[in-house]
Amino acid sequence: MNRYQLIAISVALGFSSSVSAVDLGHGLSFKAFGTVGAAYSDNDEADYITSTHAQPVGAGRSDDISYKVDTKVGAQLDWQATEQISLTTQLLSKQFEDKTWTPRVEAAYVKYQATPELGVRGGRIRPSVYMLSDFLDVNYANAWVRPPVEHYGVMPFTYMDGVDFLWRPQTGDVTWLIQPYLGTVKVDTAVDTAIDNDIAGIGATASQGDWSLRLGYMRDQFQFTGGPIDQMLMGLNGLCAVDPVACELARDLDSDDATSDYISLGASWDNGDYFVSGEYAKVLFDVDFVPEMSSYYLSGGARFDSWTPYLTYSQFKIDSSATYSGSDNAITNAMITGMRNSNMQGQHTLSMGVRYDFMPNLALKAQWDHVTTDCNDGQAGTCGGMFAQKSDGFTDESQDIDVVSLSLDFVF
Amino acid sequence: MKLINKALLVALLMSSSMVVEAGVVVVVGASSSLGDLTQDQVADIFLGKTSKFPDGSQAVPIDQEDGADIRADFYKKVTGKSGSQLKSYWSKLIFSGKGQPPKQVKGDAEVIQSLGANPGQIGYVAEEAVDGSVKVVYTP
Repeated sequence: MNRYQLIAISVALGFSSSVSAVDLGHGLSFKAFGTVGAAYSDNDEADYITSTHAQPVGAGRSDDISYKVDTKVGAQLDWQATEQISLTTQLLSKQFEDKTWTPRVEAAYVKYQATPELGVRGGRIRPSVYMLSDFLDVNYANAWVRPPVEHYGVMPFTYMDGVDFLWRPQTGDVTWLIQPYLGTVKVDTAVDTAIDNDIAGIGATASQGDWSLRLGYMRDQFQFTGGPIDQMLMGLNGLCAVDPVACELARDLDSDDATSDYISLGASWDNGDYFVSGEYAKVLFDVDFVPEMSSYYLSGGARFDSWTPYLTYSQFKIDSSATYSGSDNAITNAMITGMRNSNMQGQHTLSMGVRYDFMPNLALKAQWDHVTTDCNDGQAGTCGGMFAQKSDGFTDESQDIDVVSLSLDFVF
Repeated sequence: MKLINKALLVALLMSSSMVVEAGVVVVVGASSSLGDLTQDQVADIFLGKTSKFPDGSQAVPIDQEDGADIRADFYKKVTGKSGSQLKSYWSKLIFSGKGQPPKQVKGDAEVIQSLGANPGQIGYVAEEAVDGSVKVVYTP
């Protein structure tokens, strides 16, 4: 354990005994959230992880029982400078893609409340891509040990530097939250590449009584860089003289205007005693080297005093074939197929768990996940799911893996 | 002995249910022109989903302290949420920057005092605390 891991865990445990947000006076307040979690996987050929871009190791191969999957701590300082202007900074420490736990700035923005219904923020913001995206690390906010990995685990970034608007109009009994955003972020991934993202999107949520419906759209103009990409480019450029399709692919791969479109539809119903929520998302690409994908989850549960049992089904699906055949040149096809293969991360999970609210700011959770990795067109080599540190052979056939997790969440 | 125990139990149950029955009411300053509100309207205001009253004027909710019985009673009846559900709900908004919970004051007297001075404010108090400076706009 390094210094920051220890700090993260002890800070999490220390905070959990505190009761509520600390008011520091002068409009300053300090708030925090966190999780201390342990996850066990019964498969030692690969690591169960929660993010394919950001989490390098997890439970299974690297450690039977891993606290790196879910443990995290976040701290937020808010300053209400004037009635209309506020400043927010949020730091987060967890296992990052480079295996360090050094706290990072997840949010640092100025908010201007122009009218009671309209606010605008500028700075580092967590964009509202899907239903839970902007508070994804706050596990206390949900019943589960962690948000469904199949739906949230392939998102390449958590924050952006840019602006967004928070507009809350009302029509009859329906209250709205319309949240357009625009920003840029460059992220390093756990697989030695970096992705430059220029994003623009909008989330629209309509709420009435126990119901809430949300539509989301985001366009991401992205560019991959890094060692593996350079090699690929070199290969494609080498083929360019004999294969015009390879030239085109190289241009796509090297350009900064490859785009992906994220379209999502979510709904939740919660009457206090029972709740159901779900979200579906489709991701489309205008380039051939990444496959189309879709994901969804459906979850429901009941509350009996302090106990909240729940059930979740979630799936991440690759909607294109791994095999590329857009060129007459067999080598070009093989190269692009190889690149697509690395994105063959289809898997689905059935989860069962229970949340126990035993103290005002603390929730204890236990969850069992039955994870099944899915092959693309039944082909060997495409069956690795969203796992990391895969051994040779792990990707050759569909795997059934049981994961058991225990976590303690706090917020204050 | 058994009978006494039963009697005690009944008395206890009655007294505890009476504590809950000592109703909470939603109030605004007496000078406000606001008419009666519905449960959903009150819930939307206290959950930060809207910042306006039905007549379009600005609504500022005033909350009671964390851990106060009347607070738990109010939110359970009006929003269906328990204390930890409410905390979960606000943690989504606080850490995503989408909202801050209402300002809290201590006890019915402070709520009434605050409402009397600010016509845009809305609060909740025990029914018997209602005096001439406030008017009831919703009874759960």
